[in-house]
Amino acid sequence: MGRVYFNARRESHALDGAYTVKASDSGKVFMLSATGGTVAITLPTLAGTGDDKAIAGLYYKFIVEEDTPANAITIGAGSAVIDIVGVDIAQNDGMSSAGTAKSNLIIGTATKQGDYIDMFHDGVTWYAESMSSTAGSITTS
Amino acid sequence: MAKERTPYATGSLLNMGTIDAAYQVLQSDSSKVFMLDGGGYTITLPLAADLQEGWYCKFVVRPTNPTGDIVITATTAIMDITMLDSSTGTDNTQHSNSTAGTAKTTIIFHTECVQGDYVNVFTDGSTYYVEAMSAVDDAIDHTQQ
Repeated sequence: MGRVYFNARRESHALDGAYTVKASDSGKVFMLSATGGTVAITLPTLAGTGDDKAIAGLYYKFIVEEDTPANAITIGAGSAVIDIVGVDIAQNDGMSSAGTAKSNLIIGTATKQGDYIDMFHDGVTWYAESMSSTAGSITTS
Repeated sequence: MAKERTPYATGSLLNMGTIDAAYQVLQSDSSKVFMLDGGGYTITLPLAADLQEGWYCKFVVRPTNPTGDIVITATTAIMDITMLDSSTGTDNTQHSNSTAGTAKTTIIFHTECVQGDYVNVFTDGSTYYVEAMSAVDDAIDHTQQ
């Protein structure tokens, strides 16, 4: 069997304000800051159309770029369709949804540069995994 | 000569699949994200003799509380597992089911698993390297409960 090597780079995309993530952004790494106020990031939804529609296989990574951001950053799905599993440096897994899906992932002002959330969509639900170097700094609602 | 730039992966989609019964994973499944439904079945990875360096895939639990254990087997003890799970549970140690240098044959999603628990599998050609995370203490393990 022949091999296929993927030599593509992942495109990084700096965000420092509100943004609606597009399906065509799939594969991007979003670098997050919130210097001018709280930041709301909106994910594609099943009800969306065209480039705003959530489909199986979409994936994104969100990395905190601004060390201890000046304001909170919220990643919202519009409804409780995010299943997340994650831990932080204090062995706190409080951000894990543990079977009860969430609407929002909140990156707090105590997060450190490099803390991250990976997300993908299976056609029904958003799946997220996260890691943080400060205790309790990534939360859900 | 101008430096050649590799293309961006933007707009690409993950290669998704679903497993809800016993399955023999194929070499051609490399890069797939398998969503695990149901429960009570065994997933068999490519045999050690057939490993191809760079092969990888991901397994994600779709239902909270699978109907039975979901076993991923490498047939021989070639799985090195590093994992974290909830610190709230019987042993209060998040890494207790990591293999810590002693390779294992299986990794098991127990019925306590919740939606989103996952296992990533990668091989260098001789060993499966596994990383796992679960929101429930000991819900993912390398031995039968």
